[in-house]
Amino acid sequence: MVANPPELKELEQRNYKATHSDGVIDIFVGISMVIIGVTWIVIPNVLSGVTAGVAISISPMLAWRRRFMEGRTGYVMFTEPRRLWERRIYTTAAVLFGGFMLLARPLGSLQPEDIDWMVGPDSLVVWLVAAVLLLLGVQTKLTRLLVYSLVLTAAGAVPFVISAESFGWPLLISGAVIVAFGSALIRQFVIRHPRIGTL
Amino acid sequence: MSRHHPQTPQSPAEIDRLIHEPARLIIMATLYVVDEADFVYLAQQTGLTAGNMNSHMARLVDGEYVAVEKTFAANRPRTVYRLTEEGRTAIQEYRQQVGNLLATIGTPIPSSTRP
Repeated sequence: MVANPPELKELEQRNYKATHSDGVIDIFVGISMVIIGVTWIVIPNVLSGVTAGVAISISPMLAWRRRFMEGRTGYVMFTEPRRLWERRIYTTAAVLFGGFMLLARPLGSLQPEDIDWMVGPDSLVVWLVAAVLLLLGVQTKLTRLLVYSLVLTAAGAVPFVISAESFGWPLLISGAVIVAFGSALIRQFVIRHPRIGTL
Repeated sequence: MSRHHPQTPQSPAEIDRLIHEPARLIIMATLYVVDEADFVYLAQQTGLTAGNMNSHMARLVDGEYVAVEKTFAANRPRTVYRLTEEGRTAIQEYRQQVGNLLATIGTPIPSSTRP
């Protein structure tokens, strides 16, 4: 991590969090979860294509977000240790999430009695994703990621409550909650940071 | 502009005045924890007006604590600032100086030196 004195480390952490308070990524992730969830429920045969489409759109979304942020909060490049740390965290999360998505289909095709040591395959995958969010939340100190993790954990129980068999429901519900959070964040962000002219 | 970086100032007069001004201190501290940032980012993070920022940045650039680069991003001009090595050292020494000064405040003055 950044080897700064305590008060400057706190300043760096505050600045870093401020550049992640826009809600764009939240909305993207939430919408992606809703799309994947709906596809899983309605037309599971095209799920791989839809998931690949979401994955491909990450890069353009990040480029757009960068322009969006710089037009409102200006440009900043954090230190190399911070960027390295960020790359490690996001790579780990992507690898774990990708792994879970690969696991999702074989697990989803199992019947609960096939893995009676767990409460159900649907929730297993959702709770693994929740664990990734928990890890990200603890590492980045972004409290809302911890909330998302809790939402996913709770949503993992939904299939039992409504007796649904699809893994899509928890994703759909959690995605909708994350979109709502993201929308509130982006609204606050746009009010606090109006688009600025050249200075 | 003359500057000196005493490690252990004997009096407040030896504190680096270029950094000691609150607005410049927060600009320097903000730049210390990032690699580089543009004018807009610094103005937002410090809460300074554009006019104030301009005046303080000019002093820091004159003092060679901050390097400035004028570039273009998306066909718009962008002014990017970063701390120089001298600026980075200066802020470390400033922390040391202020720490030492604060430490001496609690030390009783020997009676022989009292006026």
